[in-house]
Amino acid sequence: MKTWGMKAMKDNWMGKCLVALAVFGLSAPVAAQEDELKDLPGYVDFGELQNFYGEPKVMINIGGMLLGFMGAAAKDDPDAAALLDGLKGVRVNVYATGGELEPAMDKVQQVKNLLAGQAWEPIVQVNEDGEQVQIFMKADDTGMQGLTVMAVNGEEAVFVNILGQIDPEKVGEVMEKFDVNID
Amino acid sequence: MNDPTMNELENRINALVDGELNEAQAAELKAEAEQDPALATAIIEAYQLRQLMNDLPVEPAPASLRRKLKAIPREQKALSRDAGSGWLAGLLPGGMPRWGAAMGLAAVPLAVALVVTQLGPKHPTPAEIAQAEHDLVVAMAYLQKATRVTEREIENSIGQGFARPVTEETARALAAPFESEKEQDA
Repeated sequence: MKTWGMKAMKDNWMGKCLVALAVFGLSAPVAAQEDELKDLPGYVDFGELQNFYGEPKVMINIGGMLLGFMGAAAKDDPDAAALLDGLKGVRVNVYATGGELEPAMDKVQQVKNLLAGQAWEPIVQVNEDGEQVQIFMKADDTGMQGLTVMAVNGEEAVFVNILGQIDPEKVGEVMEKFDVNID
Repeated sequence: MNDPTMNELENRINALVDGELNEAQAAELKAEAEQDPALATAIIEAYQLRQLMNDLPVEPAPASLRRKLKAIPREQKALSRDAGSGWLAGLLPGGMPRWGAAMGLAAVPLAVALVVTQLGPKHPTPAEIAQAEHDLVVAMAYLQKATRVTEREIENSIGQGFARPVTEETARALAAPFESEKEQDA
């Protein structure tokens, strides 16, 4: 198959611009949500585990703009509005470990080391054979900046990063209204 | 650039790039750009300039200055058009074959469609909000799941009677800054 057309297009500056724009156009929606959160103090870089586990089975990035709209829509539900009030971002990555724990455990250790240097405080740590749960919180004199949860077992590795403030009691109250099963 | 039509077009391009056009206005400009390669290229250039400006690690320039900066490529193009053999002469580096330009231009509508899609109205659609709500519920479910694991492990370690107080204390510790801020607000 001749490819001279594409090569010629890549060789000229307009072609380069168009290729770059096309690539940007396809990738920006996902990247934009993530980029929007990176500068916030509660952001945690979990790195990547795709090399070991493939694509995450759950990948959630909710930025402040969407949360703002959700908050406005939830004004008739005081519990949901209270939960959303102060939230700046929500990120979740879940990988299926398939019993292969070591890469995920290593990643948890790497992130723990990272958090230790960024003023995150450990809240709960469970270290059992085959299961590990780590919960960290970051706060300053203005209040809570973020919450980080890492949970690894034989089935999955879960990395949750809540940016902004969250009231755990409100989580329970809101979740009672939903029938969601992630097990 | 004293031509009122050009000024109006410039303003519409700037408004598009700044996300200030509504859906109908953005669609109208997109349709015009699909018929007018020069307009399409102008939109792309304005968009690239905006990207470059966004990447600069400095405070944003005043809006009036940004408009002037965005107008520079258009003014240069107008000069090139006057001096050369058409708008293409101002666009292409010397020596570019016509077929190369034609191929590039053939892809302009696609690129414009992508750019217009990206730079359209910033408001999320109801479907995007609904998806985000679903995602938030799933995220909170994972948060609860991790909390349940810690509660279970505490039960196993120190007995059921202590599990709730410990996890509730944790919840209170997490909520404390939130509560104190609410009190300050009150």
